Parts: sequence; C-alpha cells; structure tokens
Amino acid sequence: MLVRRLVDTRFFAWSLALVLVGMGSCRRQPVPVKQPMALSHKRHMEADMKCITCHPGAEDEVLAQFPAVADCMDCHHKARGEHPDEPRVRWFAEQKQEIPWIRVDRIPGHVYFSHAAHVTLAKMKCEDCHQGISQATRPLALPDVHPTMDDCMRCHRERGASNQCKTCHK
Amino acid sequence: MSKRSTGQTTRREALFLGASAAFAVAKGSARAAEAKSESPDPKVKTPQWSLAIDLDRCLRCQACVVACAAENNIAPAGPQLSQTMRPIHWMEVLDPQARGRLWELGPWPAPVPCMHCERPECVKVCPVGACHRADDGIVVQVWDRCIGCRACMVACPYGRRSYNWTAPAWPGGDASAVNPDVAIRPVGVVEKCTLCQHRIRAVTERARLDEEPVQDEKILRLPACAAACPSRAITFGDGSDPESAVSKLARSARAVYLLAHLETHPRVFYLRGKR
Amino acid sequence: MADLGRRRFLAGTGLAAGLVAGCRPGRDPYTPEKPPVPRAPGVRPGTESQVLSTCGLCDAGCGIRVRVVDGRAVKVEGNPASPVNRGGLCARGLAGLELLYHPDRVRGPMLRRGERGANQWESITWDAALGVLRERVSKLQAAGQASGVLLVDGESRGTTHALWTRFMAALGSPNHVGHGATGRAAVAETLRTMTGRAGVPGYDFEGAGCVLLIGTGALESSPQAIHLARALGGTARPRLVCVAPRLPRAAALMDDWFAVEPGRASAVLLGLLHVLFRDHLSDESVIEKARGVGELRAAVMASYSPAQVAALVGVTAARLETLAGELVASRPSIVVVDEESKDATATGAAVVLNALLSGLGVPGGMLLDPDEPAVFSPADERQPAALEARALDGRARAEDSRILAIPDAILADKPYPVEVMLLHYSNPAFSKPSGKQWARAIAKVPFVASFSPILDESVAWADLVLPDQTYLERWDLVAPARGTGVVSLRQPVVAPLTNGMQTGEVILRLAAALGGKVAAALPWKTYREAAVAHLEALSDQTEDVFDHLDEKGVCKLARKDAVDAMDGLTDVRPAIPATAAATVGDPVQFPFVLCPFRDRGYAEGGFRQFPWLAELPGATGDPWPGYVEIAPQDARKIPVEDGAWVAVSSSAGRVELRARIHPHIRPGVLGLRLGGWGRWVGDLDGVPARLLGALADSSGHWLAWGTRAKIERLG
Repeated sequence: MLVRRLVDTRFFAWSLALVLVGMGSCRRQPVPVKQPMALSHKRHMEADMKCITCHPGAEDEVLAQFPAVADCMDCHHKARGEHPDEPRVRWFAEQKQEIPWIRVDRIPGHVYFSHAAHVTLAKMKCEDCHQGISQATRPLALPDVHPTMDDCMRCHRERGASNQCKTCHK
Repeated sequence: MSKRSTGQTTRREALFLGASAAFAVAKGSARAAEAKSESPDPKVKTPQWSLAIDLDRCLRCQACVVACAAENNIAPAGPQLSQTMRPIHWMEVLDPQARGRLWELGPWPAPVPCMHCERPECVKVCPVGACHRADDGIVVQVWDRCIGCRACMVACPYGRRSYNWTAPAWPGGDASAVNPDVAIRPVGVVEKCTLCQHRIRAVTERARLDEEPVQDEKILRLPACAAACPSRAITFGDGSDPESAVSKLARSARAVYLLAHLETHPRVFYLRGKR
Repeated sequence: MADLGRRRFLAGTGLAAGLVAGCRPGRDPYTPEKPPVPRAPGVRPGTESQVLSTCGLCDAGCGIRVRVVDGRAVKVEGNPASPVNRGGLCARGLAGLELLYHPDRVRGPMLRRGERGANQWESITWDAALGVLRERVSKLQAAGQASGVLLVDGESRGTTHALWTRFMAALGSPNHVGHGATGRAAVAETLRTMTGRAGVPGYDFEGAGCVLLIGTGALESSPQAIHLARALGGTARPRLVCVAPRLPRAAALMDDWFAVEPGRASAVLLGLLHVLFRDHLSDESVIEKARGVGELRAAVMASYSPAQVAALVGVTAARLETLAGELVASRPSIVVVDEESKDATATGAAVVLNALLSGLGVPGGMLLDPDEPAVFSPADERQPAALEARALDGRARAEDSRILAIPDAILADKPYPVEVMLLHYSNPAFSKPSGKQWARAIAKVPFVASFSPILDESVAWADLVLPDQTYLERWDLVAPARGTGVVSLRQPVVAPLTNGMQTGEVILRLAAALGGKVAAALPWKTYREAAVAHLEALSDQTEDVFDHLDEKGVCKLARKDAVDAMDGLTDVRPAIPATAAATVGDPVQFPFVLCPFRDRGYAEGGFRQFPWLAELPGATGDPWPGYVEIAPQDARKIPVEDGAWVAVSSSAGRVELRARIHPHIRPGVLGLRLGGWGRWVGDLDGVPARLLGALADSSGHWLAWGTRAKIERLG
C-alpha cells in the first residue's frame, strides 16, 4: 500500500520538491566570497617576489599574515601594470584603511596550526599545502587548503612529527 | 514498516550495528593509542612540568581564579546557574572545611587547580580516550572527543573537573574578549585546568625556532594564574631539571602533596608552614 | 478519497521534512567560515600587540599590559615594569575587559525623554549635550547662583580631578564634594593635621618586621592590598597581626588576630601607646615637639592601661603587652590605617605609633607623598581667588568634604538650593549610607547630569548623560602615589567602542563654551595638554619621561617637594581619644553591630557589574547572592542555619540576605558584604548599603562601623 502511495504523482512531486529545497540549503560546502579587489598571485610571482614578502609571518609566526596596505605601497606607490583595480591600492592607502581582504583559509577554533612550525621546523614549502597558488590569477574565493584531521595525521606520521592530541588541539 | 521474519532481519541488523560499533571503537582507540604511545625523540629531553603553590604567600585574593577564567574563555555562569551548581572554575580557592577531604591544605582555603597526576584516575575511566597523559606530564582533556559521560569527574579524587551544563554565554552575547588561543568548549563536555598548555606550547615552539633552550627564569610565571598572582605564590617550571626553581621548592621541607595516600603523585604541590 | 489525499500529503510532507532535516548539517560549533568573534572593523586579520597602560579600577595605579588580537582586547595582565604591582594584578584588574565589553555601556550622549528612571533616552550629539549643560550652568552663573552647582566626585587625584577643582573654583561654586573610598577623607585630613602632608599614605611593607593591620581593607579591596601582596612576594615575610571584627580568607596568613568590636581599634592602639610610654620603649623625640603631646600622654596614661583596654574591648591585657613587645622587637613596625579604618582617633593613634616604631618617609615606615597640586601651581595667575560662598556641607577647605551632610542640605534647601548636580564616578544612592535620602535628594534637584560610561542608578535618574570612556579607551598620565614615586601611562588599548568622550576633555570644552573666567582658568585646548601641564607641576624633571613611558609604560618621577624622612610630627591632637561615638540604633532593639566590608568585586560608582567577580565566593563560599556573615554562637542562638534567608534590619532600612556562618567573626557582629550584584536594577531596596546609618565620628566623617542591626529568620 505504501509503495503505491509513494509513487503517487502529486505526493511524489511535493516530496521531491521539498527534498531538493532541503539539499539546496545544505551548507556543508563553503560559500565563495567576493574579495574587495583583484589580486593575481601569478603576476606577483612573475615579478620575482617571494611569498614571505607579503606574508611575513609564514616563517616565524603562527599566522602568515596579510600584507599591510603600507607594505603594498612600497611598490604600488606608483602605477604598476594595467589592471583597472590597481589604483584602488593607493585609494585604500590614502584613506588610511587596510584592504579588507576576507580570510578564506580558516582553521577551526579548536585547532592550532603554526606556519612557523611547518615552514621553518618541518622545512615545508608554501606550495606543499597551498597548491597552485603561484598560478592563481584571482584572489582566493574559496579555501585552497582544507585538510581533514586524517590528512594532517597522515602527513605527521610520514614526517615523524608528533601526533599527540595536544600538539594540535587547543 | 514491512513485515519481516523475526530471526533473519534482526541478526542482519545486529551484525551491521556490531560491525559499525567495532569500527568506530577501533578507529577511536587507534587514535588514542597514537596519542599516548609517542616514542619521543631520544635526543630531546621532554620537560616534566610542575607547579608549586606557596601557601605562606597566598592571600587567597582569587586573582588566579579570574586570570584563569579570562585566559581560558570560561564564561561566567550567571546568577541563576550559580545557585544550582557552582560556576566553572578551573582554578578555585577551595574551602577545605566545606569539602572535608583536602586535609593537607590545613584549616584555610587554598587555590587548587588540576593536580596533573602522574597516575591520573581520570585517565583510567575515560571510555573514549578524551583524557590522557601527555609526555610532558600534563593531563590533557580533548574537548572534541569527550562524550560528556562525566566518569572522570567521579573518578577525580580532588574534584577539579567541571562540566558544561549549558553552552557558554558571555554577558550581552559579546564574546569580544575571547582568547583565540583557547578553544571554546561546547555544552556537554568536561573541562579542566590545562596548566595553560597553549602558553607552554608557544614557549617551546619559540625555543625550537630560535634554537635555544627554554630558560627557567622566563617561565617561572608562565601559566595565567602564576603570572597574575600579586604575591608570586605560584611557581611553574621543569621538574626534571634539578636546578629549576620548582625543583628546588619540591626538595624543600615545606613541600606537601594533596591526598598523598592515594598515590596519584600529583605534579602540583604546595608549600606549607612559615618560610 | 479526499481524506486519504490529505493524509497522504501530510505523511509525505513529514517524510520529506525528515529527509531534509537529516540532510542538513547539525550545528557545528567549529564552522571554519564563521569564527566565534568578529574582527574589529578596519583591522588587518592576524594582528596582535601588547599595549602598556594603567588600570583604573581603583587608585592603586597598577601597570597593565593588554593583549590585543585583531583589534579586540583579549587579556589584561600586570606590567612587569611597574613598581606598584611588578607584573601581578588583582582579581578586579584582571576582570577589566568585562567593563570594556559590558552590554550596558552607554553608547553616546543622551538626553532624557519621559520620566526620570523610565530609561527612555534620545541620542544627541556632543555639541548638543555640551550645549544643554552649558545653558544650565551659565544661567546660574549669570544670576550669581553658581553655588547651586554641586559636583559629587568619586575621584580624588589625577588631572581630571584637578580640572574639576579648577573648574568649580572658577565657576564660583564651593560644592566640589569628594567621597572616594569611604574614610579616605578622614585619613587624609588627619595626616595633614599631623604631618602637614595630606593624602593617603603608603607603607614600605618590604622593609618592615611586623605589620599591624587595622581593619581588613589592606587584605581585601583597598588599593593598599596590592602593595602588601607585592611585599609578600619578596624574600622577607613580616609578622602580620590584624585588629578587626572579622577576617577575610587572607586570615590564612595572619599570625594573630585581635577580634575587637567595630570602632574599638583605637582603644587597642592607645593601649599600645600606653605600654610604649610606660616602659620608654621607643625614641619619643619624634613627637616631643608636636602640639598636644602632653594631653595625649596624660589621656593615654590615665585611661588606657592594658587592663583598662582589656575591659573595654575584651582582649586580655597579657596579649596586649605581648603585642607591644613584638612590635618593638621587630622594628621597623608599621601600623596600617587605610581607608577602611575610618575612625579619626584610630588614624591619629596609628600615625603616632608609626612615628615611634618605624618613622615617616624612611625604609620600613609610613610613606607620604607631596600634595597633588589641584590647581597646578600656586603662582599661577590664572588660579581663581578664594571662594567666599559657604559650602553645602559646611566645611572650610575644599578637600575636607563631608558627604554625609549633602542629602539633608539638598532636601532642606539649606544654605541654598541645589539646581544642578553633576555625578562623576559617583553613584551615591547606591553606595553611600542614607541611600534613600540620597535618592530623594537627587529626585529633588531640577537638573542632574551623569558622566558614567555604564548604565547605573546615577544614569537612570539623570536628565543628561555625558558618558566617559573607560580607562581602557583613553589617554592619561597617572601618578599612583603611596610612595611609589612613579608616573604611569594610560592609553587606549582598542579604538573606542562607543561615542563616549573623556570627561577631562568634556570639562575643557564646557569651560571654553562658558567663556569668561572659567575659560581663562582652563586654557588648554586638549586634555593631553592639560595632563602634561599637570605633570610639569608635579616634577621638574620631565624631559625623558615620555620616552620611558613609551618603552615601559611607567617611569620614575622625581617629585617637587619630595617628602624625605620627616623629623617628627607637628600635631598629635587627632590621637587624643574623643568621646566614643555612639552607635546608631537602640542596643536593645538592635543587638548586633554591622561591620560592612568590600571584597575584591566591589567598586565605587556603579562598576559592580563584573560577573567574574560576582561569582568569586567570598569568605564563606557564596557567590552572587548578597549575604551577611554571622558567628557560629550567634547563629545557634537565633537559631539560623548556614544559607538560610534572613532579614537584617537597622534604623535605616531592611534587607533580605542569606546568612553565612563565618568561623572568624566576633560574636555580636554581622559582616555585611557591600555591593549589589548583577546588572543595574533601579530598585535599591535590596542593596546592603541601605542598612547603613549616617553616623559621623568626631571628625565629622562617616563612621561606617557604627550602625546597629537585628537579624530575623525568614520563613
């Protein structure tokens, strides 16, 4: 009896519609963000810049950091390249405002991840985790690093780093 | 649901459930075992952290209690909850008369954090491996693994574990003063003093980056309670280093361990009697 | 079939809803996209700094170091470079962020709409707010009634206080009434009489052999507590003896306790003096040249032998003799009288004992500071002329305010009506005795303005609110005094969270708007200018001060007219026992005496809403609800169990509290923990301070230990 009810057209249509709405509102995937202006990592790498020039914390601090607009102005005090967004750097600097980059690579609140420990102590390269960032022509709209706990533990095991809970859990 | 023959389907279901449970337990305990059975690098001597509380300097002013709450994101319980059960305090100035069991403290209240026992009772009873003893002596509570069964709270003879009966709520909902180095525990987990493990980690990592040993003078007041104490009653350090301040205090005739007869061998000890 | 269709629809919807609910992820507390706390606007993510500043929750002036992450202040700790606290910090200072981020912060200037107390406000601009106040004040000034402006000021030192003093004097009003911590005025005045130096003294605990504490302020909430704690953190451990009706938990460190009735500490001190005089145990040349020394000797020798004192206070003569011997043998010895002791005779006797047992301005002794220049420079030609108008509280000098006299003066319009009341760090209806009188007096004044940054009764009953910034959001130079000899920097740790304005700045703008004499007397364009001018009035050597302040947050300051070792006292008459102050209330109807105390969570002027502090158990382990401490013998007699609700009544009021059996309180005394916990309520009837009667001692200052009470079980 139930089987017949289930394939009843009207019933089935309603249920299917509701299920699709539910799935559509599912938020397991991160939502792409709109960054305040254009940024091409590729262009900057082609200009022979190193990652730590803009992300100074990568070798010695927990967070790699974003560049301060004052640091951007070291080069961008005059026009560089032809991208229409480029003058906005100077606009932000004039307003004494930091460029409001939206951070997409976020660590969950209960996890401790130290760039210094990975870059300096483990001697990893930026692109070991941030794969393809040197070829990115647009700023990140979605996280480019999203390991699961298993991924972290596997890499730790392979490289002989500690897998104690307290190493990573806050 | 559709009819089914009693015997067959229940057996299938039972097998399926049994297999899932076995898989989950195996996975969980594999992780827990990994956490516990780290063979440390024999070249690097792991410090054995220890804490000394001098009862002849302590004014029982409770600065340590507030410092701990501020450092570790312990939200105030509010007037209603404070009436039904004690607010969460990892470090607490306990009244031995009221509790009747920490008799080594003497007749006066004293600040009591987690004892970080060498033989912790809580670790023995945790069914999921949320509570274990790290290689440096800290008894670690992994909030994410805790299922809230509270067996550890029953097991701890010092009663220094707290349970999150409600989700943490900051006054006015403003969590601006939250310390980003310490996770916010959700409702349903047990929490306790970590000896400010996040601060220890920052110091040891910095020492490794700078390729310099951790200096005892720099970490005497490392945990938040020790840093805040206006009369410097709390001292922290490496108990395995015989020259450290805390080791010297441990050798003093005034050193006393709480509930010593239970042989939990706490790493936190007290100095009693006039200096 | 229609029924089946509906049923089908409902079943299907239920099934689909179940599927949808199963599909949606549960509430994940660790969603990476949404951190638990938003970043402060305009701040680059991942920025972290340590900002040096000075705590402002009492006037100890401890140096603090605030960790700021992403533009939010996340932890307050002590500044290791400050000689006041050397890196430690008391519970109150550590809870400072609860004030900064408190939900009841006043967001900007507000003008009352609706009835007073209805809490209905209109947000206005600063220009508009200053305009309203200026109009009220200048009207009075024009009519020659500037005395109708009353300023109740909770601060007693610092540049803002100096600006207020100057402002009121230039305006022509003598009614700048201070209250500070209760009893401070009594201590300061007594010291000025006896030494020529006003101000609350400091003590060199590190150098002392024996410390005799009168009252428990130095163990609980007094600014003195941080100095005592700091000394205990050193290598020496002085002998600690306490003379008080009750002991807090710090009793653990007391080597001895003299449980005397409230107000009887002076008898103990005079008894000690008797022993010193009788046996010539000290060098009396320090008091030989003082006025009244003959009278003092005569009074002490006649009526305060150990046996006589024993009869008075219930302490055995032998114990008194032993204590005197200990004090002499452990020299230098200090008798600590700070704001909590309140009784002028006790203060006077303590100063004499200090002069004899340790010295003034010497290691191990009492430390005095030069007076804080209230008007910046005596030779300043802008200083307003001495006022001729009579003050509301009848006192002669501006520093000697008698806050007790104010509510009655307002209600009786004597000597003249009060038209404008300004409340600066003051919430007298909540914290002062005769709270009900204060409430009535405030209701009577036609215009009330409050500067409080947080909602409290002073704001609730005001007509205009000009919110200050909290100490974590403003710039200032703080000279902590008490012999510390430093100046300490206060600076914003975060961008201001509200549209508040530093009150010092408000005073300058108001003065400029008023024009005339007032503007001429306060010519500084910014508060910073005024603070620097104040600093230059304190010291001649200010060249490197700012460099040191930037680096360490604190700097040694060579004060002008620094007080070196004093040769002796100039006047000992305050120590001469006056007739014992009667207690308030009929001893038959009210058999107990109240001993009010303030533990760490209490602060003046409405800063009581610190949940972390409210949850700290007091001496008897009870957080949050108000409680009264009672001795075990008294509890058995009533009878009342530990934790039972009781009604405590005095001639001033009735309050319901929880009874707590306290092992270290003298029978016949009720320990009354002052304060009111939680967010402001507006209903002050439950506040313990309501029980306190307005009793003045011989000096005319409030003697809070004189109120009698009775206790009844409820239910």
